[in-house]
Amino acid sequence: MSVTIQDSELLLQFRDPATKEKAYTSIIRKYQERLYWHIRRMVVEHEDANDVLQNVFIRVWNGLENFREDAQLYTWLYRVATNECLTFLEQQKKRSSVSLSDVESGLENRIRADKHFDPNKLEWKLQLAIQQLPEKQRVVFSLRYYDEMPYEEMSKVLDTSEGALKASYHHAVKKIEDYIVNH
Amino acid sequence: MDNRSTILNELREISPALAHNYLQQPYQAPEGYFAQLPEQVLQIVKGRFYQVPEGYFESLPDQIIKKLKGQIYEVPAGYFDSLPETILNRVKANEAGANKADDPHEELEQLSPLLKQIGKKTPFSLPEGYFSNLSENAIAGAQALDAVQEELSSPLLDGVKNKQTYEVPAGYFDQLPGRLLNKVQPARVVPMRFTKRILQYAAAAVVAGVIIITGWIYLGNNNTAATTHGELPPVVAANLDKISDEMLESYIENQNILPTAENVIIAGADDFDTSDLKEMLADVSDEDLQRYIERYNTAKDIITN
Repeated sequence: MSVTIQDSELLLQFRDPATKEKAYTSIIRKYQERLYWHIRRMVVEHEDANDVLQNVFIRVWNGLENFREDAQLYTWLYRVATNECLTFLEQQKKRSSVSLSDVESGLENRIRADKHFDPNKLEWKLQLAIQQLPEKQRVVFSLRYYDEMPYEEMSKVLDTSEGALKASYHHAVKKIEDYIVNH
Repeated sequence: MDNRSTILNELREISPALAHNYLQQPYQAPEGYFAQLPEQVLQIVKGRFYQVPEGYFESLPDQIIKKLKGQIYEVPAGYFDSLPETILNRVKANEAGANKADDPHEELEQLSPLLKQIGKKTPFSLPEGYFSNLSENAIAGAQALDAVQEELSSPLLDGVKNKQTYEVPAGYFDQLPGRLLNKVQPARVVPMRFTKRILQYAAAAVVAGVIIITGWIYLGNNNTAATTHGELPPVVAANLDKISDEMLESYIENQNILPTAENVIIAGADDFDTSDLKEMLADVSDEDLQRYIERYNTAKDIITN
């Protein structure tokens, strides 16, 4: 599926040095919130999400000229954002010399440390439940549940078959439901 | 009746709600059930409960023959005529169902109504005005990166980047793997041969002999006529004067002179210096040397062992 007309225009403008910055700004404004929340749900802290998001847009600045347009622009942006998140989490794990599961329980603690955290509210329980999922399953759940991404697009973002993604999402929903019911 | 009203009154005291539904049966018996019941029970008792359909036994032989001929299954009238349309309708229904399943809302409704209720608002907060400033910050960051890259790059340097200034000897890269292989291959382990071991023990014997003979000569010289180092006793010297040098030389060449302790030791003393002896005795332990000296404490013992 190729890019939308609006995105293709933005790409053309980006490739023109005279309008590059204007196109870049438009792209950021168009996708910043979606990407931000996708990243935030993975890394929890605003500062970390800000770092990752800026890295994503720097990659966009450097790589958009070579974007082949064989997928939607937002698919490519989500792919970059997801990879940056996973890289960030991996780096956090190495920096603190702990296992990834400890990083995940660290993220859970950060959720609890949020000044607005309320353990009785379902939306907070949902965030805690999401952190119980394995990393990739968390991404699948987030993309499907929050961003309502079609499996076909998700398959391009995560480079995984649609069948596997469906199964992963279904398992994720069941696990989250169990967590919410039991906590 | 009195009993029933007593129970009912008791129940009212305990639970008025239950008392309200007292004796109301939720189940119902089929119509006419009780009217037929006696006849049915009689049939069971007489062994006539199971009824055989009318004409069963008359048609039984034909049915068996049909089974044998593989004609048991009957196809409903018009089945094959309507089959294509039936299948097509099913295919369309499946496609419609698949599209429906790709709808995230429908999917979530099926998977977990609970999650559907929760809503999609993420509860995390973020700084005010974050998104309005983000694009300006991102542009500034990208421009800064470009400026740095431009600063670091230089047309002059870029021009010579791929030019090699150093020369490599001809055939260097072809020979390099072989050379490296030779360096990293482990050294051949040559087992120590028996004769080499014997030579080492002989060297140990020489050293021990030097020590003993020196001591012996030193002690012996104190008791004999005074002779200085290198001089023969007077009787021997007088007899030797009668023999010409040529005769002495031919005697020495033609005789198999058995190695005397002195010969061995003196020869050894000329051929071996301290570092040679150390090298030869490097792998002979002190205990072995000591044991050897104690066991073979004369020069003859040393030479013949």
